[in-house]
Amino acid sequence: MDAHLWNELTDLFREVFADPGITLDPSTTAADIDGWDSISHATLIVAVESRFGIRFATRDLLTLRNVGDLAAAVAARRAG
Amino acid sequence: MAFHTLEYALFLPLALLACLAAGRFRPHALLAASLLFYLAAGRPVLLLWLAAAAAAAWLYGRAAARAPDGASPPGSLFAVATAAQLAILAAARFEAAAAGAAALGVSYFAFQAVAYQADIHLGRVAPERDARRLLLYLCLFPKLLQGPIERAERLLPQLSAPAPLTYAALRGGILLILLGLVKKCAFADRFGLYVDRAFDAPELFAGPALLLALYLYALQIYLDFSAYTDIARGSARLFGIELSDNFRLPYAALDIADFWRRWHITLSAFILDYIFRPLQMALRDRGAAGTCAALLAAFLLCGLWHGATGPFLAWGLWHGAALCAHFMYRRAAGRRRAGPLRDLAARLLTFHTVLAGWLLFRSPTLPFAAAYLARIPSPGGMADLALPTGHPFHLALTLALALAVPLAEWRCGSSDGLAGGVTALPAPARWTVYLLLLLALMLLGVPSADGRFGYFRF
Repeated sequence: MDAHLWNELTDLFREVFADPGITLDPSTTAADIDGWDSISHATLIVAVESRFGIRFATRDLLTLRNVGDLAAAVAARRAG
Repeated sequence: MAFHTLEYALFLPLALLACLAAGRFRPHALLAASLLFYLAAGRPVLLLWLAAAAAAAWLYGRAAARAPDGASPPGSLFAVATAAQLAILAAARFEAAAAGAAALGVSYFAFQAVAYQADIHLGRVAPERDARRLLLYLCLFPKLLQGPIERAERLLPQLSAPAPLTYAALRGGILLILLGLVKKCAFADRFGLYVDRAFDAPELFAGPALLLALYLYALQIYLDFSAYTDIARGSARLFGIELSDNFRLPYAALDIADFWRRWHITLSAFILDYIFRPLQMALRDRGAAGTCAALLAAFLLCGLWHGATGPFLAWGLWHGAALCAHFMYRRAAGRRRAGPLRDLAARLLTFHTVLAGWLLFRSPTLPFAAAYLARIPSPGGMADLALPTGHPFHLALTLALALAVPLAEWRCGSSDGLAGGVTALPAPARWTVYLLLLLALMLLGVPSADGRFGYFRF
């Protein structure tokens, strides 16, 4: 896992959910972060796309199960 | 065949004995029992719809399995498969309406089939090769008529290798069934007597009586539906299968989004995963407006699933609008601050938002709902809501006893928790509870007018 990407993702989560104490690991899900639910999820995805200059396919977004999947999807989009 | 009938009381142990005697043919015996259960609904055409849904799902799975390794099946194929399931659902409902009947179970297994196909399309689950197992996944009798709407990745492995029947499973399953029967027959149907009187002729009652009837309806619908889930889960447990819980103290919800994580959990999860999320992601560039549009569309469809009538559509829109309001408030107010008084206020606000929706849900037409609501401020007492043969004391007693059930569930965390708490008691206390439940069933049980659970009609 790209450490720089992981750090950027962590900073992004802290900004979006207004919690400087957030720490991420690949198995982190919405259940682990206060304020992250199905309704606020779109805000997070738009922020990720904007920060990393990428655009996910809708289908790819529906298969994400945890932050690890999200990080992998970001890496794949940046490489592609 | 409703769960609280003599027919089911005979069917269940016979089906269990047949499955135990069948040995390695147990899945075949369970499938035969499930088909027989469905046939007993009295409308053989329902089996036709089931066969069509199963065939469409199986064919889609076979076609998807032929896709090159690592590739997902074509989107067009998925669209056709989804359209086929929705067409089956629409045709079944149309046919049933024309016959003056209900399309029992079709809404549930059609949605299950859609979820199964979607999960194949998204690569979450492999297509099931065994057509009989796929058919059983759709028609497993404990969940056939009223859910839970089970996901393939959770249920299919259990159908391949059900757990053996142990004493603990037998005891736990029977206790859940007994709890469900008490909730349905002793409480939900008893409240239905009051609710039906008020809603049959609201012009005969004063405001406080109509308000009380509305609160009783909130209790009735929860107890009726959760009772079915309890009996379904208890029955399935006897066959070594764990079904999903559909309720988690819904009236303790802190906000409307929390309510939908606690009420009819498998349906709301379906709406979330297969309707709201795809819409929300497709509209994500439109910010808050996109999320709100997705919420309104998803819950309008939820209302439509219940019925293509004004009140159900309005009920769906009411919840969609409440969720939009919650979303916008959270965006503006930031993270929720907890505290005993704040939590109490939040729970009361959420409960009454849901209660307003129940008025729409229970009303035959929108003008009726408006007239009922307009009548609530009118002065008067509650005594005139007395049963034809009853006494207000009976209402107070039943209310106290029935509130004890949700409070007990709150204390234990869920129906499962309540059943688990009972089985963990010392034998004398445990058997006392069993006796009290049986007494409640015998002394307080009320036969419902149509012999059905409320959610059969969806």
